[in-house]
Amino acid sequence: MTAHIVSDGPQSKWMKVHVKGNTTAVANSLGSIANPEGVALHINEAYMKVIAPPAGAADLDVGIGATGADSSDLASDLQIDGYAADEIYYIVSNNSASQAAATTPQGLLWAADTYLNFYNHVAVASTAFEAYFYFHYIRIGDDLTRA
Amino acid sequence: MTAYIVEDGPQSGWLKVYVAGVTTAGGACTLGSIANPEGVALHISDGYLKTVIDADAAATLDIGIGVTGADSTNLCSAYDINGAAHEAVIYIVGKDAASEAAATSPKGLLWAANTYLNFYNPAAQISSPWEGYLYLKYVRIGEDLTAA
Repeated sequence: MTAHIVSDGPQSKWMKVHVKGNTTAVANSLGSIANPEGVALHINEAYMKVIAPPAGAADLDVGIGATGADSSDLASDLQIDGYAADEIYYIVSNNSASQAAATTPQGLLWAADTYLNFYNHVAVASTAFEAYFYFHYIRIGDDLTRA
Repeated sequence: MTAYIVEDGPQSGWLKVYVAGVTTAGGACTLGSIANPEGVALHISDGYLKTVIDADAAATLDIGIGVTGADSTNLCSAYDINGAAHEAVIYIVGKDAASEAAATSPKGLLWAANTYLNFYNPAAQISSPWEGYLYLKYVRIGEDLTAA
């Protein structure tokens, strides 16, 4: 399993995460990222750039939960073998009106002690899959200076 | 009236404003106003409201830009803060605009240099104990100050 935050230079305020597939032919985690700020965050924007699709019919779930979990509240059942290399896809929807709820998949709370999970939930190897994910978030907690 | 900019640490590029309801009975009233923080024309491009606790009575919330203390509604109009779920986050700036669409209220809003971000309860109901945070992103939208 391979998922890590990329810190290769200025990211223009995006959190950049690299994710790779593997040769495991049962459902399995592709990696988990701990909350990078240690405080409650609200994910309000996200994109996936596919570098290479998997060779087999693997599917990808992305979401927030316990480490290693099959979380699907940001993306569910992405049929990544059909995605084109170098294409960019929305992960957080961007079509909500003013005063609409900013809830999954149009925004998502990332609690301080939870993980951003990437999971192939079908029994097919995800070999060759490689992608970058980009996230914007709000530090959504209370005012720490208040009594 | 209580509305102020929160500066409790890194805000990941967001302007964070705390707002609370009041016990003023029987009429509409301001919940606070925030002066333009940069002193130049801004274009609000993103905005979210998080309710911490809802109001006990049927108060509502207007948010917008105008003179200080005004009932401005060009970002949010009559949002039901009595029925708002605790910890709920809603869009304030609409994101339902296509490429080449106008980025105007409520899908973007000019915040002129000498104007205020206003929070107002337009209903004849007490707004306490409602509390929330508003998060905004903006573009400094003015002209090139180095241009002749």
